[in-house]
Amino acid sequence: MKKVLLLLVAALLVFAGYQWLNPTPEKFIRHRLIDLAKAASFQSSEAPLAKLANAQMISSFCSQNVEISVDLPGRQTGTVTGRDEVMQGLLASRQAVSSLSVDFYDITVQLSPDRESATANLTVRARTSGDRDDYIQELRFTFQKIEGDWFIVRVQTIKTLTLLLPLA
Amino acid sequence: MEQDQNVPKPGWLRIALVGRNPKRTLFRALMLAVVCLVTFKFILLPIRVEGISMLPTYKDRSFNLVNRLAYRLHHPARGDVVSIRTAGISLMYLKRVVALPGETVEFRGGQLVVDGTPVIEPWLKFPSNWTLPPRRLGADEFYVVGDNRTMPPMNHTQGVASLDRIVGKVLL
Repeated sequence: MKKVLLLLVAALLVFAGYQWLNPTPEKFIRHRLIDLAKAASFQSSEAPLAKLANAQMISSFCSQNVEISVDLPGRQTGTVTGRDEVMQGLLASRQAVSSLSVDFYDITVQLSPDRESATANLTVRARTSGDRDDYIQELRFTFQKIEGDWFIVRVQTIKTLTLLLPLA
Repeated sequence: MEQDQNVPKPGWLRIALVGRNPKRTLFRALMLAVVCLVTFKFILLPIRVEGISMLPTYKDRSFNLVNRLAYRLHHPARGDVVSIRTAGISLMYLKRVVALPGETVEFRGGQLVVDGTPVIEPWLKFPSNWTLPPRRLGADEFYVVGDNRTMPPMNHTQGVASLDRIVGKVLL
């Protein structure tokens, strides 16, 4: 009986180890997004070297020709294209606000049938120092498998509440 | 009779903690946990209101419950305060339904106008000067907005929510 139990525990440990070493694409993408949120957050006390390292980490998650489209009428609208622009934007944002807290909620990952791309929908909650209210926004990340690794190729804002066009 | 006298009586602390019959107490605790789980996950969703967009009806950091079964049999009505999901239900918007599917909604100098008729909003306590052009809602589309319209309309999260995004009706 003892031997059976030991074997069972050993098998479970091997399985857990295998899962940890070879995560499913969904798990990998989820972890990558959590790492992204952590790297995007910063305190006012963040050292200049850490700022650069975190910005570099985020840009390393993106493909060379990544496209980030923000469409929030009345607030911010625009597109950032390419890793370098992302990097510049990240460093500029770290200069603009003294601290930022980013959290991702309700992450759902859906793989394409060929398992070469995936979309992740989530809600981001961000708070900057001095802001009374949190900023909440739905986002859609598109990932693509490039040379065996998953990279962000597109980020889009999703409108929870859509504004209708005025009647003609 | 002698046997009963030999059995030690449970102490008051044990009775207070696990009752006279621990098995029955455990069963009751498990049942309570299941009932709570089902109630607060699938029927009444506990929420904490954050922000000022629903002032003065709902104050910042106040507690409330969302009835997830409210719209099983009928659609939201004008004046209902509903919760609207984002990517999931961890973060939701709390807004009031002011226009229903098929209606044309606009704001004229702070006055809500639906299908050309001004609508009295007793829940509005603060003055507003919003002017937004008329918009027609499609099927299963509801226009939702907060009760605090003192800020410019562009700084206030509002707009069209499809029925599938409405999680339920705010209970309190």
